[in-house]
Amino acid sequence: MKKLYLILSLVLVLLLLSGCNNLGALSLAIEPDEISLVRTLGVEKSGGEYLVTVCTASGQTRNPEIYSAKGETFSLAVNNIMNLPQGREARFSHTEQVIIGEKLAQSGIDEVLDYIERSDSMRLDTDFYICRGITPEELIKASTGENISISDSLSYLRENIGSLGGGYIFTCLDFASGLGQNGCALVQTIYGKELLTEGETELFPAPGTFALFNGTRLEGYLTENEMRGAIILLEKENTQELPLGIAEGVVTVKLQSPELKLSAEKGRLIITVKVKGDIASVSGVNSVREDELRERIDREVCSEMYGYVKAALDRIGSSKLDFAGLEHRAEIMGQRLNGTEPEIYVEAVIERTYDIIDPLPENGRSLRP
Amino acid sequence: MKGENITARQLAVTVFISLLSPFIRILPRSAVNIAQNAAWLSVIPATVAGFIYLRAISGRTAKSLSSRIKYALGNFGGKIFLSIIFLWLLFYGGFVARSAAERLVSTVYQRGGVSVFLWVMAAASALAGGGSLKGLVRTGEVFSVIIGVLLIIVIFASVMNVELENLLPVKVEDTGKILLGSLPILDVIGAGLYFLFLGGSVRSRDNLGKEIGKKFLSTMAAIFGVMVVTVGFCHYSLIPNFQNGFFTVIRNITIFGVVERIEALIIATWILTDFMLLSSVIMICRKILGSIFRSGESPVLAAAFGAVTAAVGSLFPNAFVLESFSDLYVPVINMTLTYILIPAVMVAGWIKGQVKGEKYE
Repeated sequence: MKKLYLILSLVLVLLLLSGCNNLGALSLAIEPDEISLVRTLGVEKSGGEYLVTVCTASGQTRNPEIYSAKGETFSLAVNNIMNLPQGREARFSHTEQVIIGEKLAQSGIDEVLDYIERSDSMRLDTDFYICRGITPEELIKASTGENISISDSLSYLRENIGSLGGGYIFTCLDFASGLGQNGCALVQTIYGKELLTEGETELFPAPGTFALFNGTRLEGYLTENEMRGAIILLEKENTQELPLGIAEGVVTVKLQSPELKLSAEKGRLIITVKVKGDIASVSGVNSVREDELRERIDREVCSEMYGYVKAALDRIGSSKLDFAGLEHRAEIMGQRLNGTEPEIYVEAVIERTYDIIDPLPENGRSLRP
Repeated sequence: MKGENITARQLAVTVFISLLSPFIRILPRSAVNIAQNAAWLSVIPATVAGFIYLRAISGRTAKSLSSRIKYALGNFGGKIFLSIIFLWLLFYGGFVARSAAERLVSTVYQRGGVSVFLWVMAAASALAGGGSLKGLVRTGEVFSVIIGVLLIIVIFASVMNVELENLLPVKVEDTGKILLGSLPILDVIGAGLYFLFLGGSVRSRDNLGKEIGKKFLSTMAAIFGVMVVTVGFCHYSLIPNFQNGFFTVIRNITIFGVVERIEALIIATWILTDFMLLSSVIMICRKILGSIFRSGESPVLAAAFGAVTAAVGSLFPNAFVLESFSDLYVPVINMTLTYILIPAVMVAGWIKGQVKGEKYE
């Protein structure tokens, strides 16, 4: 009898408490074809309201789709977009990118940030972008076709940001933590770049420099040198190609992520940057084997790196926004900076693997036709 | 009573698997609200104080807590005091059930209703709490292995996301904050005292204090890991915004870009700790009632207790009210009972024993 009760209760639990059917008490079932996974979420202020645009994931039988909705608050706008046409439901659990419009960034992104932080479905490591010169809705629509969506383009951008001339893609977590720690934070910007593909001009998201936020409001944009300096100071992974103009021609050096060492003593912050790289290509230079030339390349790299770091530090000084968290890091080392200017030392070690493919003899004459 | 004899180790395991439920509910938010980025260090003073407290209070438990209270306050006074604890535990059970249901609905089953989870949880716990103590503690042993393995995996997988800059700097001036931040942790540890109402069923009581101490230290090591990975994950100012800091960290775990979004699995598994806590509370209520009315320990009563906890759970109108109870009323009442009133009664009993020349244990 006891066993019968046990089996009965198990059967009842399976039938009534399963979340996978619509018969039981939970009734949570939703079929995969009733779900649209949002990959990219764009937000902008339009007419005093939040305008939310989403780009969904494509499938074997489904192209990426774009939907927009408005709401008085960001939360309302998101709610308004939940129920998509054809009875489908938008799911934000796999959102990969959030694009914020310039207008909204200028008026403050508290609501969006708060929503993402409190959301039970969105992840904090979602990529965060500021859209310049074009609204997120326009960019999402213009750069999404039948086969490729803005989400794909931004994923490609994430993988190749260094070679595409951009900086570093910060996540919502980087941004929110930066704000908490330093009261300011950086975000990668993107803009619509026209590219000619198959005879037609299409718009693609291309990387710009960093947007600088003071609190949750957009304060301005960093220059390219300031951006490169910020990447070094923040110790973010970034491989980049650096063309160096020397007397003989141009040597392009592929730099690995620089190593940063911060030390502090008696209120002085000492910044030591160690950069490693490789000669990627040369133009107009017969050989890169001469010691004197190599030293010049090292010096040039040091000088460039110094310039970047100096530019970033100058921006920190002029804006009074410590986006590199130097004060915080000095505090960890038990020091207070009290506004003293940091000392910068740069050391460059450029590898010579180019020599292996360099067909030049010691005297510098090319054997190539 | 048949099926009532358990070992000290089994009771200790049950105590700490059950306490993982409130630990994850309040931590690291409550500690971070006080100690900010140094909250992860608050686990250390809480461990030291909690260890001394638990050893002192459980080391000489030859009888259940009910008999010791009745001895200290006399039969009538003891019954009154036990009734107050009984009523509080029924309310606490309702609060635990509702918290668990709320967590499931707000994180995994967003389309579901709280009531279903609440009543199913209360029914399942009433079945376990109305059964044999031996069965319950054995279940606790099995669950502790599952939760322990999960915790180890999750903590190790989350270490990659820890930024030292979020944990530091910690200065000497932070000592006060760190000590105050240990209070919410001590609040949960104090709830371990209620399990001593089951102490009368422990076969060999000599090593109860030792077993509780051992299990307590391993639990606190896990809690320390949870605090480090959660506080180190982001700037401390963000943690109060999260519904549950630890589960937010888990949501962002990615293992070699292949395994991700494992939080639903962990949250669903965490229900085991809620189930253990609620079942234990129902079991403790049975024991207390048995002690008040001598024969009131009937398993049938567990169904009534389950219904009461579910009804109490339904009284919380929304998550905000639940949160205010979690942050204020529950800790205040729990700490008053476990750190002031019950220990005071035990001291009174010891003094009474000394005066009468009787052994009080």
